[in-house]
Amino acid sequence: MNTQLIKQAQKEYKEKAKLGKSIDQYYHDKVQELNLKDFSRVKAYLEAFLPDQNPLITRDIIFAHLGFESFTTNIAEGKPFTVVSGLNPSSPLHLGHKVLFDLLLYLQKLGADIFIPITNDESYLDGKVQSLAESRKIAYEEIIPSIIAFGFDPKKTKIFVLSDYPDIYNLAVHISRNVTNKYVSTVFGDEALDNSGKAFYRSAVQLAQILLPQLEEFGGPKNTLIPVGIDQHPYVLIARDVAKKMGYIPPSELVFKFQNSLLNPFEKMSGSKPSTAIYLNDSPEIIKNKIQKAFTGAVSILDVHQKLGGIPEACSVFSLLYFHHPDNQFVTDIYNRYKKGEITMKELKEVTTKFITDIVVSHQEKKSKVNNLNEFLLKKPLTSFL
Amino acid sequence: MTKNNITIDELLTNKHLIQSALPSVAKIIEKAKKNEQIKLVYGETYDQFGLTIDSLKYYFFVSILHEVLEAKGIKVSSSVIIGDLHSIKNKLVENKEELLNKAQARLQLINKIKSVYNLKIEPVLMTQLFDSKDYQNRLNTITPLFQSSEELKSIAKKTVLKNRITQEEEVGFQYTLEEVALITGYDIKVGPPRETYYDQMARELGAKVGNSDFCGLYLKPTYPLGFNFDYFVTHPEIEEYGVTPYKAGSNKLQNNRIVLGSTNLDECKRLLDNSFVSDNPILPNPILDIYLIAKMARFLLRRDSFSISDNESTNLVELKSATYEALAENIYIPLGFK
Repeated sequence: MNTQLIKQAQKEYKEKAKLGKSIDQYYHDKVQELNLKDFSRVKAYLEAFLPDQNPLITRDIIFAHLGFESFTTNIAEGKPFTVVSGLNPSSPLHLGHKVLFDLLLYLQKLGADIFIPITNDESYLDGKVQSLAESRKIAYEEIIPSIIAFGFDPKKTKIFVLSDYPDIYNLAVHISRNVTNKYVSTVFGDEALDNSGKAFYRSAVQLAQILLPQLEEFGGPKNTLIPVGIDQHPYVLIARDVAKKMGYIPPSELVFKFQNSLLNPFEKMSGSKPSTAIYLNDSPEIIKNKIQKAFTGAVSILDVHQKLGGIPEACSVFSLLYFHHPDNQFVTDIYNRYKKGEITMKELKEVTTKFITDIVVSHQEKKSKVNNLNEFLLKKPLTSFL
Repeated sequence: MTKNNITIDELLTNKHLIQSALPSVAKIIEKAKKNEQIKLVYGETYDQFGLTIDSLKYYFFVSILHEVLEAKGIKVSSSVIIGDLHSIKNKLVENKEELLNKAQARLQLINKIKSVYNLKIEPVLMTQLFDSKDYQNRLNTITPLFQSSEELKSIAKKTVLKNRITQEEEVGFQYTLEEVALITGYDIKVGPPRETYYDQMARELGAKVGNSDFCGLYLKPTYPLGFNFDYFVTHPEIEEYGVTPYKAGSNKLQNNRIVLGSTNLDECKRLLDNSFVSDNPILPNPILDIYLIAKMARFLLRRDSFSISDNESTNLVELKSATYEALAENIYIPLGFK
């Protein structure tokens, strides 16, 4: 074989190994930098206490938290607790969203009442859609049926589309006096506040969604858990400060890793960049094509791959199994074989394509049968603070 | 490990019994192999709630260690110091006289335990030891050394709870110095992990009072019973250090402890049934701790084989019922409690 090509493949291996390590390091550094707590201590207890070994826990997809300890008593005693997690409806749901909804479903099984604000106003303000009407349409026709298709319990799930729940804006006005422009600008940077709507959204509307469950209408102040990606940490920080000022209980945070972009494992899957994401309404053909083009942790020469092995940590294809396959043993086995070069990229792509296609097709079937949106929609008037 | 072949190495490296050592388990094993004479000590204060089952762990362990050392031809003495004076020293303690008077009853109960299990320990009141000239000399030697050392003072601060630091500073850490003066009269002190700070001071000051090789041996922490996993998640300090084994009222958790003569067997069962149990060795395991105490009791009663394997806690379903049965059979019935 051409020595030059072999050397190139060896160099490629080193670069991918470095990339894999840097992804791990990124999360580790974020925990330190943002004063979060590593989740491993809580994880050890949850694994000992709960009969189901959920992949989100065992695979360290949930990796950090702030104040999650206080929810363990609810979990231990089977008592309900409250979770809020919003969604920006600028595109159909993709596998990155599925990670969040898998987490919410898991929390619901542990007792959580879940509030899901659909922030179509934010989509409009950020210029991701042309009109509020467009984002409403996506919300009701695409997003909400897709969320319901995951299997949430209607008695324990409250979904609302922001522009159709105007009472939330009254709450935002009520909250806004406790947040200065300077503070919001320090936390988010001026570029995130470049129109007055964005400023109001980030300084008040976002906080209104987080603090909503603590209103008298929902039983008054209570522990609230906010599952977030690491980039959403500033929202929780502001909410904690404002909650203290207003006599509410500062919300806690559960931080999960982002689903890797198909094209760059160091970036997250993004709904506004179709080639980085597999949408839950993609066809099998599109899924196959996207996985074929995905960035991998294997070098380009098979002999070298079989000798050196692959780098699963830097592989966008493997990450699809890592984040979504329910069988821990299966994923561990693939990981080990991939690492040793015993599984080729062709084989990995085939296995992954079949698995992802199956779950997406199954999701689409469930979504097509959803006909109970109204059972999930929050319509309760908010008056306690007026 | 069995009666016939328990080695010092096996006993001191048992992962279910031993937490850590000062300076190290290896150094203690080395000491045991070269010394002709070893003085073991375990000391405990007490409160109004009585004698906990967790104290038995220390009496039993010290006695077994005593026998292992003696079998190697070493002349061993094992003292259990009942800290009567230190039990009432804190100004927050109420009914001091009544508590001081409980020392005799405690001494009696320990002697009964000693007799039932044929233990090699010698219980002794702190009051008696404080009268000795050797102790007074050690105290007089170390006090000025301590007063002039900022490093020792910083260690001393770690021996007391944060909310009592000011109170102890005002009296020159007298309690801590008395403790150090007392334990430097022995070679190896057995105790809970939190006592390592006293022992660090004893190692620093030991050479000045003729004891340059003082060692500390720490058994696994004692955890309260009747709590699920969330208690330990939300109480990281108890997760790390446990509660004070010999004080039932430690952290006001007297209702979550087994107190001999006070907690009946039904209550024990309730506490055991409601306790968190796991096969993860890094997590607190209050059930396993009680099981091992009962297992040591069985060995001491019957003098048959004694083994603590690495896999004692793997069958979690059986562990709770086995613990209850072993507790009744080997501790409650022999000691005449119900």
